[in-house]
Amino acid sequence: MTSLLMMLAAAGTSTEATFWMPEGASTVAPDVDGLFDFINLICYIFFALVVAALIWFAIRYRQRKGQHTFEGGPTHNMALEITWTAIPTVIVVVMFILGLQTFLDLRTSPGNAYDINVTAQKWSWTFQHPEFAVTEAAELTVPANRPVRLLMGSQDVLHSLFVPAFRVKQDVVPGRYTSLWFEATQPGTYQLYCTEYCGKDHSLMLATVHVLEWDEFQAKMGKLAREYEEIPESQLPSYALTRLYNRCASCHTLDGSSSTGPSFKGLWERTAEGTTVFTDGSTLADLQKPGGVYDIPENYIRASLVNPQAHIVQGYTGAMPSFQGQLKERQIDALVLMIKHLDKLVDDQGNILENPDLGSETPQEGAADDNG
Amino acid sequence: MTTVDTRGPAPVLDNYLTHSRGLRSWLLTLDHKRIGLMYLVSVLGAFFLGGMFALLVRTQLLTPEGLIMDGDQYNQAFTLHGAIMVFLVIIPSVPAALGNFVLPIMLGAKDVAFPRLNLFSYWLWIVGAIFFVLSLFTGGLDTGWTFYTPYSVDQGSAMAGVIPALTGAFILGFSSIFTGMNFIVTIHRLRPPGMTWFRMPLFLWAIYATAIIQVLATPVLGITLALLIVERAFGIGIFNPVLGGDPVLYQHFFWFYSHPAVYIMILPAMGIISDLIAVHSHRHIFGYGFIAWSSIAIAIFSFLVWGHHMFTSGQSELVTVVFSLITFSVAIPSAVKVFNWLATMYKGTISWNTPMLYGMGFIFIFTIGGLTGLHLGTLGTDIHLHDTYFVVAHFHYVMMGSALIAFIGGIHHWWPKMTGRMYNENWGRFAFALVFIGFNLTFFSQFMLGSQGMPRRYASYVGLQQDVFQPYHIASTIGSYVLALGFFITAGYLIQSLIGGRRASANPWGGRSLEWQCTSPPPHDNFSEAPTVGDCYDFSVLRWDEQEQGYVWREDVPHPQQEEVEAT
Amino acid sequence: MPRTGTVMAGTDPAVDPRGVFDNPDDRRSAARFALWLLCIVLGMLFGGVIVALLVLRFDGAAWPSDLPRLPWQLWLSTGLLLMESVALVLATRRTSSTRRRLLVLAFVLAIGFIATQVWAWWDWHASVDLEARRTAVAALWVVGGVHVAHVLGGLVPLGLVLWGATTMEWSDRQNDRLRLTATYWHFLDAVWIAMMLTLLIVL
Repeated sequence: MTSLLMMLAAAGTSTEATFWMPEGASTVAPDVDGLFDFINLICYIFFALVVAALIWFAIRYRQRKGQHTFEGGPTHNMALEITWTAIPTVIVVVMFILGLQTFLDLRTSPGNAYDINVTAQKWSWTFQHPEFAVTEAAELTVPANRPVRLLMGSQDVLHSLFVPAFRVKQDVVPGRYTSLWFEATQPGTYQLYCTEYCGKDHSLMLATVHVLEWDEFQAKMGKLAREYEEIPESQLPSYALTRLYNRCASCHTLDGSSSTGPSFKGLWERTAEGTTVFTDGSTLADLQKPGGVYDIPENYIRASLVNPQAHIVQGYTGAMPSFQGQLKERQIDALVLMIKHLDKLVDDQGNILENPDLGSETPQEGAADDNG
Repeated sequence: MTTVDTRGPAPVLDNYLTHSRGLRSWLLTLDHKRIGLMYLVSVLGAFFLGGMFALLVRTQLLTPEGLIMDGDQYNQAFTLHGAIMVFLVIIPSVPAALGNFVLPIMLGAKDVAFPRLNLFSYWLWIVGAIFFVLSLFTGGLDTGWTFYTPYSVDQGSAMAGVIPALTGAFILGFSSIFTGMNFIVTIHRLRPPGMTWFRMPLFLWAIYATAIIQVLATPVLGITLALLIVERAFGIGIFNPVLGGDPVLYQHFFWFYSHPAVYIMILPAMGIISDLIAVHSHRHIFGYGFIAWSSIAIAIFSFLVWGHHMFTSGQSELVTVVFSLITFSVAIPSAVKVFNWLATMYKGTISWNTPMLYGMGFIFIFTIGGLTGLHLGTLGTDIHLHDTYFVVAHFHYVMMGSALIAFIGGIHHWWPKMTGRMYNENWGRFAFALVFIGFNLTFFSQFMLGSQGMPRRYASYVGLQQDVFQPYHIASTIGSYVLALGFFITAGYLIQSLIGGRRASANPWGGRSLEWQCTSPPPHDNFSEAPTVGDCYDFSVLRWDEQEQGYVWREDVPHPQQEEVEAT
Repeated sequence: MPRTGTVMAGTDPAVDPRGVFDNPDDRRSAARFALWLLCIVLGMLFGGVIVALLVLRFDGAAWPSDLPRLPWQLWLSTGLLLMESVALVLATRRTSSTRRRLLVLAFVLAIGFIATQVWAWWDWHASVDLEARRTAVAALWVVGGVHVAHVLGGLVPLGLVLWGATTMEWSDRQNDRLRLTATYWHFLDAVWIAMMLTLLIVL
């Protein structure tokens, strides 16, 4: 039976779309397609037998005109009944074992995987490449011929990430991480769907997967990483809010409500005035005295990003990971500026304003201070 | 049909329809036959409503951008289609409507064990249905029929109709529990002398197995929905991770009920088909014991497979593997039933009338529905197919194509008994052809849609694959219109038969179970004299009587009652 | 209530309005069977609640570690409910005058059970800082509340039996009712003990 499957699988290495399956572009696609074809074959045989018998009996044994009495006929046949119970049992056991093998392949990610962090929220996908400190929205760029592992979390309701061409799918669950891996084999462009119903624009929660050869991939990542370098200074706070904040949003709100971490609303004021209280009872003001580590407020914000465990704010558990190495210097500048000018970027409810008025105070000053 | 043909036996004046008059005598009746008929009318009303939503959904998907609705409207349409069809139509269809009418007569009892509880169940059903309709007017319902958390408790996105709908489903659950309890007690305690367990028609075995599931599984749904109502109303978070709850726990609870609920839908359908195939093939059912026990086996296994709805949910891999294995075990008793039905037809005398066509249509459709379950039970392929149209197609083949087709077949089979009238066979066959072709066109297209990657619950399908999807969607939508036309024609000739149909004899098809021993329609107390229990699948003792327009006992075979008389 | 059925001789139309049972004993045993089924239904329901609580307690990371211990009044509740069962067992065996007194006692004990439940959870609630513990507190309330709701439901048949015992001649039918009511209360007792065990594990 296994050799039959191997044969079918081998026949299915072509990545062309078939009547049943879309084009296959990952290492597991031929296995999944082979298994699908094997089950299909079993189904065709059983279906043909059942329907042939059904039609044959219906025609051959139809009630003819004037046939008004009937034969008794046999009521059971133990040998026959045991046979037709046993044969399907053997077949489904084989099917289970083959399905199990493919499933374990689908779920066991190889060691050298390229990691991508995925954030799902109504109704968009954000993909973050820690290796390049690049964040993409609605587009996922992955290298070909290298295992890719997605570590996924949701900020609101259930979502599910599905790429038909890779034959992979995994629910994204709020409150925990789930993961998924694949190895794309064919450079190209593929569709990514959300397949767990999530409300109004569920059907628009799409993304495009771009598979590139490794050197092209690196070049594109480098270009995306430099994107920040080319942004004018005055645009930095807005950029941080729209392109970087989504990674903070699961813990830090913009409307003042408490979450896993303190809200960004009013953070700048609390920092500047030194009113923040830490778990050991000391206040930020103690550290801001002349000669203290945080003589200027920007340095405290910056330190919180690269070394968040140094000082934990009272009432929180210190769940934040360090972003050292994940954020470029200029992105840290952007985040600091975003927090500093947050009251001009969002309204009281934490909604992002379309055209923020940053006023007369130009953001460059802050950035200059920080870098100084 | 131009002339009204009323040949046949003179009507029995006192039957359950004419026994008492007035609206009150119906609304407060304790007669299981009238309650069954009221369920039938109510369920068909809900079926019409759910069907209209289905047509909206199908029409929307003619174009990739969506033809007639925006995202919110579409989400409400598919949610109401699913919720109405599951909770208001399929679950009560066979047990509550046909079961109520047929079960006590088939058993040889005067009524169910607790007639007042039976009436109470019906009115609970009506109250539950009103809550459902209310959810339409209190801000809509867009959670999908599964009410998945945290979406359903998220005040920001889910609509205000969630609480009325949950309350409705909760009440309907209790209606279903009370019906199940009533049937279990009836079958245990009201079998007349001679009606041993293994002389019961297979429909009764199926209803019995169903009632066990109703009694054991539905309370868990009840408590789950109650927790959800509390959670949403008071902002606590048993299933909401933001407040410390567990959304996957909800899925476990929900499917612990809702998977067995699939068997609440399909088991009674299988029971109908077992009887339908035997009666209209005029041949002894093959492997009675296997079919009876397989119903019970399915009922037991059904409690152990809920996790197969959650292969991609993030549950542990070991749990997933175990659920996949047990899932396959359900396939076996289902396959055995199909083989038994075919063996029953072998060397039979098969009449090509409408109920038998539905019976054969069922075997065709259920075979496809069952076999495609293999793709979904197998872990490696389910990952790709989960939450796509492949799943939609699969469960429509089982829930709609099998459960509802059997229900419609059952209506045709027992229509002469219920109404005392025959419908027009030619129209019946024509409508069956439309239903069969329309159904397969609608849902077979969806298998390809799903395996190609089309996710379910999508209001639009704009994207890289839209050109692949659209032809299948168009085929599916055309199929749904054909299907709807078939149902409208069915409604037409059935209603026409009430007015102008030929009078039905006591036994127009040649059945041996007890309901064919009383007049059509049955008298108020079901049997004017105690019925004779025999082998309900031995049709060799019957012959067609032209004058009677029905089957009567053969003169050359001794009648058991005469033997008794002679013995005394 | 208008009856549409013709009543067979020998059956009591108030009990068996359609005359489906030829023999009143059959009807009695059917009612007992139905009550057992009802207990199974409710057992599944309580089982669901208990499982939900255990999962929240041991699977969720967010269960607060600083909840107060089990309120001591619950032990009092347990005692009252056990006495309730004893009183009902005795009531089914005794003759008229003692029976009436035992039924009054059973009714008072039931009210006492509900009162101690309210007292226990009220007290306990007052000692919890609700913020960030809402879900845990609510889950415990649901467990207690679902049971109390069924106890309240049990008061209805108990009250009817008591009313029958005080106002009219004791009949077979009332005796049947008393036996069924007693069975239901024993069931509530068993469920409460299961819930107590769960609470002991959880708190």
